[in-house]
Amino acid sequence: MKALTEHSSVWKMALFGLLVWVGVLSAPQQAQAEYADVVINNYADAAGMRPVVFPHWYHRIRFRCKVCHADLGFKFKAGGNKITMAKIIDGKFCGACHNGEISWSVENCGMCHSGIPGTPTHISGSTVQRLVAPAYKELDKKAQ
Amino acid sequence: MSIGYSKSTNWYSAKSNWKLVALLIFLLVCTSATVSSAPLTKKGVYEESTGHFQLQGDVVPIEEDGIHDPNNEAVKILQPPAESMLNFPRDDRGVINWVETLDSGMINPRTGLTGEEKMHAVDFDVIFRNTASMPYVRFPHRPHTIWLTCKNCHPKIFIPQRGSNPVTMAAIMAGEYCGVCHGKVAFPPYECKRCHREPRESVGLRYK
Ligand code: HEC
Ligand code: HEC
Ligand code: HEC
Ligand code: HEC
Ligand code: HEC
Ligand code: HEC
Repeated sequence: MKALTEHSSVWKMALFGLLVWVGVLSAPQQAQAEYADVVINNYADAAGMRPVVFPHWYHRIRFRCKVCHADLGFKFKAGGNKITMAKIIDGKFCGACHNGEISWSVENCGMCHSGIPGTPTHISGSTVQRLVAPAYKELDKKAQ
Repeated sequence: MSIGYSKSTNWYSAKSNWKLVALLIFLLVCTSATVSSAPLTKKGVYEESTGHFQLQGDVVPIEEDGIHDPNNEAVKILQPPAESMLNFPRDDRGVINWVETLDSGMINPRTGLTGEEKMHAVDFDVIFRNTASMPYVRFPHRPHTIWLTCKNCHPKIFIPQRGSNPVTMAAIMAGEYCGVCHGKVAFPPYECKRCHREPRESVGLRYK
């Protein structure tokens, strides 16, 4: 009987090991922290605009993190900066660059407001989003 | 004890059932493969989509990435990631290696709004040794300070004092400590060995 139990735990462990292995194998396919598109939708949907999609990959090719996250004061939090059009036109946040000098100006609404309507604020494809807090579920209900 | 009966209910212990177990495992592998590739083909379903999903060689048009509205004119003007990042070096799991991309001079992101400022890069490492049975973690300041500045991390995320931050893997996965960036903008926590790369033995010799 004892031998049997030991035998069973070997199977259990083999199965568990395989599950972990499969999990790890399928993980990197979804790893896309390299793109890091941020959807910002604190106010846009309510104001009848598409949510904003901010592409990190595009900006980090042109600017170091420090420029935005220290010099311009963007906090490390999707939706945490309470960005509004008034502030942007005033030269803050996106407006520090999207002013017609460093980059194209605010007239190009659709370039920034390019998200699917109803998409909640989040950072696309993050580990947290997939693993720990399935953020969509709750926010989704609100959107409907 | 009625051995015969308990043996057959205990499915994983029954020696004769190994074929069943093998079949189950096979099915599991198959389903997990289809599940993880599913977001590729779905359009505009953001509950299931994980955004841009591109490894080396893949090209997903912007309007099919699950977060961009295909009915927006500007979508045609936005640049697809693959276009500019086609030749960027990748690590052995296919994720872009931004450190190498910058070091190799392929990109030279501005250090200030106009690009006149200097980065204050420092080059010293901190070893984290509370790693259970994993190799120790080597935290290098250099690849961080070519992108970031001290106050991005000190003192809000990390107290600048060796050993004074209770970092755990669970916290990282939940988006704290290293996870503030890793898994969101920098390479994800799945790349164990880019962090856990300090062999345990050698550390004992070099650090007390
Ligand atoms: C440089 C990028 C950018 C451009 C260009 C831009 N916006 Fe915005 N806009 C934002 C961001 C970021 C927010 C904040 C989104 C949120 O939190 O919901 C926002 C929010 C808004 C809001 C809701 C909040 C508010 O301030 O009232 C409206 C309405 C809006 N934009 C309209 C426009 C219009 C109209 C245009 C074109 C003339 C435009 N935007 C161009 C980035 C941009
Ligand atoms: C052009 C400006 C810009 C640059 C450069 C930039 N970021 Fe960001 N970052 C943003 C904006 C905008 C947000 C979203 C803030 C919001 O929604 O209010 C953000 C959000 C974040 C977040 C928060 C994600 C979360 O948890 O919700 C992290 C982490 C981050 N950035 C890290 C980085 C790192 C690391 C780099 C350098 C590789 C970088 N950023 C470069 C503008 C920038
Ligand atoms: C540090 C300066 C800077 C800041 C801050 C900044 N951008 Fe940009 N952004 C740029 C530059 C430079 C370009 C490239 C423009 C060009 O090629 O003329 C750009 C391009 C873009 C593009 C076009 C990407 C493409 O595929 O062509 C979008 C969308 C965009 N920014 C959105 C935003 C939003 C939204 C914000 C604020 C949350 C923001 N940017 C803040 C500098 C900035
Ligand atoms: C971004 C860097 C980073 C990555 C990637 C990473 N780790 Fe860690 N890991 C750490 C740090 C930092 C600690 C804390 C060490 C300490 O406090 O001394 C840690 C601790 C651990 C521990 C110790 C127990 C605990 O929970 O803290 C284990 C086990 C571990 N990691 C396993 C892994 C595995 C498995 C992977 C890959 C799936 C991985 N780590 C990827 C940085 C990382
Ligand atoms: C990406 C985040 C990050 C950045 C940016 C960063 N550090 Fe650190 N720093 C750390 C971590 C993590 C530790 C280790 C803390 C621990 O052991 O708990 C550390 C530790 C330190 C220590 C303590 C070393 C010791 O032996 O006790 C000093 C001093 C320090 N950093 C200075 C700096 C300076 C100066 C800069 C800017 C040039 C900087 N750091 C930028 C993350 C960072
Ligand atoms: C403020 C954001 C931030 C934090 C916090 C942070 N990192 Fe990083 N880290 C980066 C960025 C950005 C890079 C550049 C590579 C990339 O973007 O994928 C990087 C690169 C690295 C590299 C270089 C990998 C290589 O192959 O050269 C290591 C190792 C690393 N991080 C470990 C850590 C560990 C361990 C911690 C926590 C103790 C940590 N990082 C915390 C942003 C951060």
